[in-house]
Amino acid sequence: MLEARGISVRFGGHMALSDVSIDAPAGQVTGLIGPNGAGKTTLFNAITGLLTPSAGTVHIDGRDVTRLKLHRRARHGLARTFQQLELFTMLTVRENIRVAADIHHRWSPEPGDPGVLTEEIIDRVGLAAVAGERVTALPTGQGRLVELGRALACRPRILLLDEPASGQDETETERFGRLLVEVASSGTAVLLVEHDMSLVMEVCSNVHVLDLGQILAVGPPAEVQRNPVVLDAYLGTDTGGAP
Amino acid sequence: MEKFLIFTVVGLTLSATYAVIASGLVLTYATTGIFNFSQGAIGMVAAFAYWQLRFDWGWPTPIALVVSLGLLAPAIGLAIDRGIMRGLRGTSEATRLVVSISLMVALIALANLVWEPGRSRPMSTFFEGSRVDLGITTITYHQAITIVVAVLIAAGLRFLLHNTRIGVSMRANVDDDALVLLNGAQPKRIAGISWAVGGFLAGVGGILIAPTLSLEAGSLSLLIINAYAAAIFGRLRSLPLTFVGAIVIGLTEGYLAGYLPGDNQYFAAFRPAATVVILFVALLLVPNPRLRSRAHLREYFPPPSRSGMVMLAVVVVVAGVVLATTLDTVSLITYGPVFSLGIVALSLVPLVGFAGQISLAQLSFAGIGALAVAHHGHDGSPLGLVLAVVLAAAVGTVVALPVMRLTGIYLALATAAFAVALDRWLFNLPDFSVGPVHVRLFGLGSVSVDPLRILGHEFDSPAALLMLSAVVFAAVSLLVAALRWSRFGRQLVAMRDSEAACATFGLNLMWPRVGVFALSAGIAGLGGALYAMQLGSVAPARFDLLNGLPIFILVVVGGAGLVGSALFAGGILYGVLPLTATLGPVIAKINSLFPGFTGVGLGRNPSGAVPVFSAAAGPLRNDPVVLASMGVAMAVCYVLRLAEVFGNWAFVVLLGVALVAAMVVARRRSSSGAQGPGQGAGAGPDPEDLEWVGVTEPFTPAHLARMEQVLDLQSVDLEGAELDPVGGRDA
Amino acid sequence: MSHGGNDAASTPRRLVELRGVRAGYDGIEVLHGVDLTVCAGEVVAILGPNGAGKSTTLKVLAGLHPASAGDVVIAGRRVNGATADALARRGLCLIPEGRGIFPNLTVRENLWMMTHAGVERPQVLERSLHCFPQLSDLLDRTSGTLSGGQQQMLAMARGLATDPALLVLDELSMGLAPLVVDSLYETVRQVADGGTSVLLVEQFARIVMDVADSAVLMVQGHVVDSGHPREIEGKLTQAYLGGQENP
Repeated sequence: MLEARGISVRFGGHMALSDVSIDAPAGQVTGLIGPNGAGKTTLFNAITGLLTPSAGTVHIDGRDVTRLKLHRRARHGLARTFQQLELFTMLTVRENIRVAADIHHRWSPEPGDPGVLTEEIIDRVGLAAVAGERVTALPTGQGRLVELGRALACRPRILLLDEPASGQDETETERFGRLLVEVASSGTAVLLVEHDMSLVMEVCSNVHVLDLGQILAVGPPAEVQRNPVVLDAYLGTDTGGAP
Repeated sequence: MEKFLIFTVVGLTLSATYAVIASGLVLTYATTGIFNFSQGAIGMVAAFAYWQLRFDWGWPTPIALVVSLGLLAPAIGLAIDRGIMRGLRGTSEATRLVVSISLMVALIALANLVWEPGRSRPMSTFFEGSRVDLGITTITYHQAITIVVAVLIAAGLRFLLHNTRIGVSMRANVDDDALVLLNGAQPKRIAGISWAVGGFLAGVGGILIAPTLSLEAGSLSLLIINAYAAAIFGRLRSLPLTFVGAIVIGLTEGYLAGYLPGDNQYFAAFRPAATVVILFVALLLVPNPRLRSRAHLREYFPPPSRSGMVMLAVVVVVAGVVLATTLDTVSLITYGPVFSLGIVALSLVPLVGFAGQISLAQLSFAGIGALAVAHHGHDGSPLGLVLAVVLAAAVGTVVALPVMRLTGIYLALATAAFAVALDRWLFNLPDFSVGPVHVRLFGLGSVSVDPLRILGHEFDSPAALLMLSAVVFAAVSLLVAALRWSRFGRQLVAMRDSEAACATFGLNLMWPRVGVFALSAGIAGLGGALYAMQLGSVAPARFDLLNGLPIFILVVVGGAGLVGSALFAGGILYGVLPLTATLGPVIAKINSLFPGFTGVGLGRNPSGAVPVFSAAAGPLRNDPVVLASMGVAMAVCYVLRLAEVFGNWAFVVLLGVALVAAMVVARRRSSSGAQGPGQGAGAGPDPEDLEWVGVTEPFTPAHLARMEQVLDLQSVDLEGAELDPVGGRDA
Repeated sequence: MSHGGNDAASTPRRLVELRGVRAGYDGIEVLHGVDLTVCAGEVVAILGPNGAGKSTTLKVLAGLHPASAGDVVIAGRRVNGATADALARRGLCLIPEGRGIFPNLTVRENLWMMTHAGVERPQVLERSLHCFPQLSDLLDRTSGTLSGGQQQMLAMARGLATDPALLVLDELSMGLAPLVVDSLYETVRQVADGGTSVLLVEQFARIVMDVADSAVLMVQGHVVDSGHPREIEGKLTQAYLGGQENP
């Protein structure tokens, strides 16, 4: 399970995150929602080690990884996808996933053939039809699946997904939701940033709402959806006048 | 005290010149994001022009100054912006860097063409001989003018950037160029003006420093290294810190000139290299850059195909045999480097093409390989070749460890600094000992190299060595291709796109970076060793920075990620250019401009020239009948040549005719197979024909896509990179 | 485009018209034929969830992103292909998402940059400081060191000082406290009352209820509804949070 405690990030004079704590228990999908600019991606970057927070700690399965570098944290079972796709454009879908499987194979004590793992994952995320295509030929929705496949190839214990459904159509999103539940039920802690509320409502056991760098509310999705504070965060506080 | 003051003045004068050149460098980099390697070369051209007007033609000083400084230098800057740099949007940093390095090489070649090197061109200082008495010491008018000009330029730049709207716009452009547009300002105009000012500043620096040095194109252009060192102090952004850097470097040079014992060979050699050492150290203090992510490049290099690699290896070996058996000794020596230095070119493929890193020091690693084989390959011991690889790779690792966290320009500069430190300093040291290790270098001159001997067979003739190099080239080509197919190769290509993603999979980026650098250095060392064997005796000048740049440029022009680009680079630089040069002095002169000018054109087709060639040869490759007939025809020509029926020129022409005929026939056959009969009967090049793209019509990404279709490669999506000028994406 | 927009007689009624505009990134279309009209003197809000293509619509309008099909018509002239700087000099002012300022320039220098649109320097200074008196003490501060609200005021100052015919605002409120957002939108209303047409994208729909004269709802690259902001509001919860319509 992932525990992030009291994370603060400062950009110049601007507090991007102030004292944010979030838990993602194993075996569940935990949602993280909030309006644009709330600091969701910044939180992901702080958790994975792409940026150094000014305060706060990150624990993975009870172990403190706050001082570890990016790749060391990854070796504790942390994997992620990116909101802005970070695909390897010179490579095919299969090779993209294979790179991750190879890297994982190198540091992981688990036995296994990265080639076999790659094929398994391609089938699992549903990319078999395009496995030989160069990734730049794919639409964004499938690009997101490649990123998910790469993350899964690292056999993560904690999986952070940054807007994985954007660019996917309704059918794709539905299938993606089922896939996420399946991944989580195999014991992975999934932390999901997503704007597609129907997906969040469907797959998340618990949802955190982030606004202006602070956690506004935590709770089961249905509860969060009814919370007036959350609605205000999304639609703006109605101070302008009477409705 | 007197001596101290004198050398302080000397140092400050140097500082002033460096500051002027460096401030122009910083200005163009900060406002346009393009690091101008040719800044020194622009100053060099201005200095030559000034010499021409003022001293050769005897024009009055003010007019000569106005023409060379006020008109020529800014015009060069402006022309570079308009003609070259604007086409570079959306290309990688490596491509932009190659273009500006090519520009430097082109300007040097151009200057050498106009002002023949080797002639003495005396240039007197301003107010030659007059001195100002400052009480504590005297300084020459020229020194005083230099320092005053630097101070005025500092003040002028400060005024421009803070007190004029165009200057403020330049600074605004650094922050956010899209917002500059939204404000209604014209970034193109802003860029043009900063290039013009940059050119002017280069000219001022060049004209001030040229009289105190010799008027020589190469060394004046390389003065830019000193300016770079100054600019690094300000991290290529801050003008005040750049001036501080210039003062540190100028004074260091001044005091070294005054106080370094001139009779000690170890120290004497150090002086010209001091700046480079400062530059190297300053680069190490540059803070960690952010990880590369989302490179979105226009370049695309497909992995090599197995059949293509086999064909390449066969062609190389056959070419080696044919060359070795048909050329006379003199020609063998002339064309010898095609494969040996071709291997040095090959060393750039994994580094630049796969990993997307830059090294300008490959020829220096070749020099280390040459030294290893000279000292440890006595009587042709193969140990020499082994050590050449190992030593070069070891030195590569030592260089890589501190600089590998650098990327892009900084890495290019660090490797250039290393190359210059080697050729100005280390290669010119006498032998020395570090503890128990005795280091032998070029012994202040040249060292002799024994040819290889394997199992009693000695490669002691130029022909045997050429064949050996060809075989080794073929083997290393296969090795590089195998690397690209391997796990490590995929990883390098992946890191080129997104280091951030690789790190999130648990990859420690340090080791692949260092590994590929060491590997590449080792390959270069092997090439250098073979080159040294061909020469028989080598001196350090063979391996200096300027000699290495054309190799780098042509590999990138060929398409850095393609194994064929190394053959392209070696073949053009050491085959085609010397061959055509024998046709006449005019062609020889045009040839000298070739590397620089082709590199400048790179922005138009960043995926390289090799795909164009292989596309043209596509139908031929897929047509076994025509291919076999061509082979037979060429073999017949070869036999006739061996029987001395005709000479080499006829042989070359016949081979060319056979190749072109085979390509034309194969193309006909493939197109008639596809579209049925009725193709135009020999009506010249069909404008729609891929083979003639670039000749009949400009090369566009659409052509590349079609070529890849022809070659049965996966489709490329180049459209996006150009359609999206802002790079923004609706989140 | 006629400048100022005060002169109602010479200003065409329809200041902006997008007709069937399509646009995309990397070959993937994100706007699938957007139709949109802004009449002179009107404030129009584009509402919709993330990824609906709102910002892209604004970028296409302002010349920052090419339309692959359709017409972008401003003041009766088709302006597809016009560059952003040319449109800016002709009275279109886009305040982009994030902070539309140059962080390494001082406030004074930022204001100076606004004169590229064709208004003299003293006027820019006077109008900006008149509307945002707080800025007068900060003129020589590097603008990157200002607070978020102050930075956004500085960015908004361009919309005031250059007297545009069309003001285009992209997520003015992002990352700002509600009070600051309110005062910024008050300024927007003032600008509109002065005759400038405004097209704005706002994620926080409720804020703009009293500012906008009309609103359009965008979902997945289509305009799915338009009308009075209050009418649109009811449909927003569905679009944003999913689930039942009125919680």
